[in-house]
Amino acid sequence: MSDNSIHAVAALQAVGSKRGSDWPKHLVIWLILALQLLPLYMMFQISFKDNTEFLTNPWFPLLPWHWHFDNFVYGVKLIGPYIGNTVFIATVSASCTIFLATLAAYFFARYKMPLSNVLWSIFLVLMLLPAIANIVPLFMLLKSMNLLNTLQALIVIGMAGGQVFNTFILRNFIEDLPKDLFEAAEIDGASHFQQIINIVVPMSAPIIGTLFILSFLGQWNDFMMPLIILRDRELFTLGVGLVYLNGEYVKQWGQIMSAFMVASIPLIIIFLFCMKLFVRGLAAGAVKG
Amino acid sequence: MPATIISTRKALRQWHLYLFVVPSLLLIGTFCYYPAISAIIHSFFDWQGSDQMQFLGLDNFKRALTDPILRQSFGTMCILVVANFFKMVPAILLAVVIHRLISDKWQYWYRVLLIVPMVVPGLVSLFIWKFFFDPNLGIINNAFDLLHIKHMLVWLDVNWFHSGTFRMDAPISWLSEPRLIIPSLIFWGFPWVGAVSVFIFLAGLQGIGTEVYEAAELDGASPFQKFTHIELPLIMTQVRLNVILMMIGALQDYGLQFMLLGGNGGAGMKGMVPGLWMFNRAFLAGEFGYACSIGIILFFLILLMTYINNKYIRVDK
Amino acid sequence: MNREKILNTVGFTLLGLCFLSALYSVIFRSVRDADPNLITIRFAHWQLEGGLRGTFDDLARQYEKICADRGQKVRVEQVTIPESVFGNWVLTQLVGGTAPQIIELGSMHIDRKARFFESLSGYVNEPNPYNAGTPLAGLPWRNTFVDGMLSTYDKDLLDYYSVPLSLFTVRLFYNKPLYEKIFGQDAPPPKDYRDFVRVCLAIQQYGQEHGLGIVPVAGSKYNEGQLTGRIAGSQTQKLNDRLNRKRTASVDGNELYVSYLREQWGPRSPEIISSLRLTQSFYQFFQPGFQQVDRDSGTLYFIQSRCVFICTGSWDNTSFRIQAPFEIGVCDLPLPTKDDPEYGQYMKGPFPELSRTVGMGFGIVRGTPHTDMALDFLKFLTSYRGSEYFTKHSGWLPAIMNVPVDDQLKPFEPHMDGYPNGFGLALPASNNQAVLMDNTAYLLQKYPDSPEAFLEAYEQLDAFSAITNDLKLWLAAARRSIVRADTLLAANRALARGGSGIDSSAGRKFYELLEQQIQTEADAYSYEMEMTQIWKERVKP
Repeated sequence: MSDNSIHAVAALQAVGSKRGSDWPKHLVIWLILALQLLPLYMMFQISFKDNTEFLTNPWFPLLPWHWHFDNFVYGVKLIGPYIGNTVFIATVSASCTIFLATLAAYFFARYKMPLSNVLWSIFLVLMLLPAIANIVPLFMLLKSMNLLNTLQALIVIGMAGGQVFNTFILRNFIEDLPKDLFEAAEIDGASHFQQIINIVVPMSAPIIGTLFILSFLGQWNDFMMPLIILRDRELFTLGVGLVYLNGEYVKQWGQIMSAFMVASIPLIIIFLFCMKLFVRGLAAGAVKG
Repeated sequence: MPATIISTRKALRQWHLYLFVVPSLLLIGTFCYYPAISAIIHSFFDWQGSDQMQFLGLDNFKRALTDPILRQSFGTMCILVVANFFKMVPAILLAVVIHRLISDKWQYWYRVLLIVPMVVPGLVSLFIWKFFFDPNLGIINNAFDLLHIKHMLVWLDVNWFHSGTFRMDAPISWLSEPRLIIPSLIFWGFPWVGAVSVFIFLAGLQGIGTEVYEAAELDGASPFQKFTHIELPLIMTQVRLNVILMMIGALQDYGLQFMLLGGNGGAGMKGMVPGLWMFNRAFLAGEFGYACSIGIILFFLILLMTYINNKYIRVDK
Repeated sequence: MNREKILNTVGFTLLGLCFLSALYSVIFRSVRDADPNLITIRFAHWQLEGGLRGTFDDLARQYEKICADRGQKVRVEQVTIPESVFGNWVLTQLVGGTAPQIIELGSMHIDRKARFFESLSGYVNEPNPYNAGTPLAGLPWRNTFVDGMLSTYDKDLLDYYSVPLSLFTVRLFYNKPLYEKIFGQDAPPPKDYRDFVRVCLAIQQYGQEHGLGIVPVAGSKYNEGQLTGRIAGSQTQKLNDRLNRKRTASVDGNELYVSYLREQWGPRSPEIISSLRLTQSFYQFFQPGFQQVDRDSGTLYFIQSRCVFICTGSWDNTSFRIQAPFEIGVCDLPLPTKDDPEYGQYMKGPFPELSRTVGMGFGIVRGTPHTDMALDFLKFLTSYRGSEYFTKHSGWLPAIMNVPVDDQLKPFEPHMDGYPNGFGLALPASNNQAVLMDNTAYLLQKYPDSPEAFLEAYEQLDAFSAITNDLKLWLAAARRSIVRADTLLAANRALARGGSGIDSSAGRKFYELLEQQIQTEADAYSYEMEMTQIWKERVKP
């Protein structure tokens, strides 16, 4: 197990008081968490109701044998097709972002070449440049590149937007790796790519995992850019699909909530499997951030 | 690991090392720098999105400075930024309480529960909250009626504020009563405990060892004293980091307002924030040049924020 | 650790599988779209009401089949965008050059219309080929519409930019079983304003007596506007006549701007105050807090039988009938009568509906591929048979003459007689003044007893500059369109001179354009002069 993941797990060790009981603390936590999770609870229980049931009983779940599973038929029909596009964009964009950022971070962390300071400041200045001022010219740029109404546009923008943050974090990480490892590898005649694959990637796996998750979530949640860029229904991402769903005149809350559920399910499933990775990744990310 | 220094002469032979940064540089050059420069240029023009433009000099900026809606939107944004300070309280509280738990296992599971809302698409929670605010069907009014909070609000309004905002015979119109739009935006997302911020605070707290607590307990420190004397000082850096992150977020974000209130920022345009006004001018009115100049103004504000941020964080490190 | 590794692997494998299937569908799609012979026609609109989308899809399939018989491979796609984002969607697509060929226009700014949309005057005088063998065969396309396409003629640009597909009227819908429960079997619906007030008060009383939470009218910002906007216009009918210098049927927007600037009318005119009062008199009958709720919540209120009436247009008819578990009655808007003691004095009488009811106009975007095909598709949609199918299956009224209408649509057929309806304080097609109205209109509802609070707040704002700016915007747009038309004029003139002669189509087109151009120039010039004059008068004292 690598140095960093030991570090990350250490973050989870309790250092609290050993005296007194814990139950008041649990109470506080449960109170806050209950409020925080309330929207999810409402989404879950309303998604099984029809409008009449919802109006007469907005708060409590129905008994399972009254559940309207047909709501989910609508949900899948309304939202299902967009999930594929979103998975595609988010996966490609997140992987490419991390890949390119690792290359750049490797360069900056290992070598100090002429111009590398200038290049690094090009990255750093961008941290100050808010994306918001760019949106109009970016739109025009995509237009002249014929990228409007394509999924590629979203991928490329996601990649460009993620470069700076990810390179910054990864550079810090790679700099902390012991130099002997690289030297030993070089003596063995390993190329730079081999060094990246055999040393950098395994050693900084948790942080790469975290950054991947964060990039993925960023793309998964984005809706302003797709809303501006995409025209065709078959290209829509979840975000646009949800915005359009919200614009329907005929509101059946049960169906809408079930569509929301459907939109959330893919990530929840992946989360259930990779829970530990999420938690540890975020904890490690927070330490560094 | 100190970086290997490569001299200029050697670099000529090892030029291929530069290839590692070229893709990233190309990407940010094309999709970040080029649009930014283009935005600066276009902010001096009357530009409707076609090839024709008319040079205006500083007129767009003059217009922005006297634009009452833009001014109002900055006011709204300031209120939202200040509110962010208070919105950190539950996250800090939660982080401290989780940190003080004895059981490792529970600490872990609470973290898991914290992350769960994070994997739900942001828009879904946004729309669920919009639904919560619905005056007739929404949960907030429902709960306020049940808990008699509404009686209290009406009583306060009648006896103290005389604004007529809350009335017994009408449901509270959270998103259409101009006076309530900003409070609704602040209340949105209650109790405001994002996984990322709690994790940042927890990371700050992990530096405190058990022995510190034991020593404090020997001195007979109350839980609150432990907080003010041990925990709070240790997470001040994280608090600052969070404040700046939130401020920059507040400056840039307009998706929430757009989705909750529409492109015009709701009744009386009370929910208008600068980013939304920029979006509105560009993609609703077609005044792309003016929108660019608003973007530039925002850019300088964020630059200022980041400068302050760096200064503070550096001092601490 | 081992267990975790397995779980992680499973998680990422799932993600990988998702990704692979997504990849497959993305690639499959791009392969399918790569067919070079396939012509894709897209048409965009915001009508998400029930019944319509399916009908459009059917018509699109029928058209594809006709094309296939002609040996063309055509795919017609329907693009539906919610109303809330339609405005920015259209602008983004137009500016971005990805616009579909056909877009529903709505109240689009003339500048944008002139810049992005194809002018249709060249086509409207030719017969619609799809009408062959029907009662409309041989008629010029324009004359097959119930209003001769008058309503889609742009008075500022002097040209046609859209083809209407349907006819809209606004009616009062009521919950028939509930209404009859309160007023007895076969009770007639309210016939005028006073009758409506009486009925509503009775409903309120009934609700209280029986402990039912029912209110007379379902409201939302949207439904309220449909009701009060039209009825309040009755109060400015006489004012409308006085301001009408051009002697058109109703005053056009610019005339209203100028007369406002000249202080011939304003927020304190007795007619406007009366229209505001009339508007407010309806507020007591809506559910509390109605201004805040969306259109769909208003609908839900009606569908759930929590109110008796709802006011909306014929476009909601089908959605309502799909959703409501009860029989729906339809009646006319409760207008005040001419002898009404309070609201009769400024009125002339009921208004005809035809002038403003032909709607859902689709325009063709300039410079998109296959515009000829798009035009052909519009001709198919507006043919006698297309329109017949459209009305039969969507439950919307047809915009084409003599097309038979279902019995249940009969109450929606427009009234032809009456006097032009007036206007409200919110000026038509305004950009800046509309913002002022947006900022203050809520006060009307907040203090429903008198418009005073609203008027005070409104007068605090600089309406004069706002309206001047609106007029300036219009002038700038008119100037731009004059410049644009000059190019067209020169081109047509050169064509006519270069051999084909004055009697050729280019020659005819040249003279038509010339006439239009002179009219636009005269209009722009006169308004410009008038505006300068008003400003001088303002500045002098």
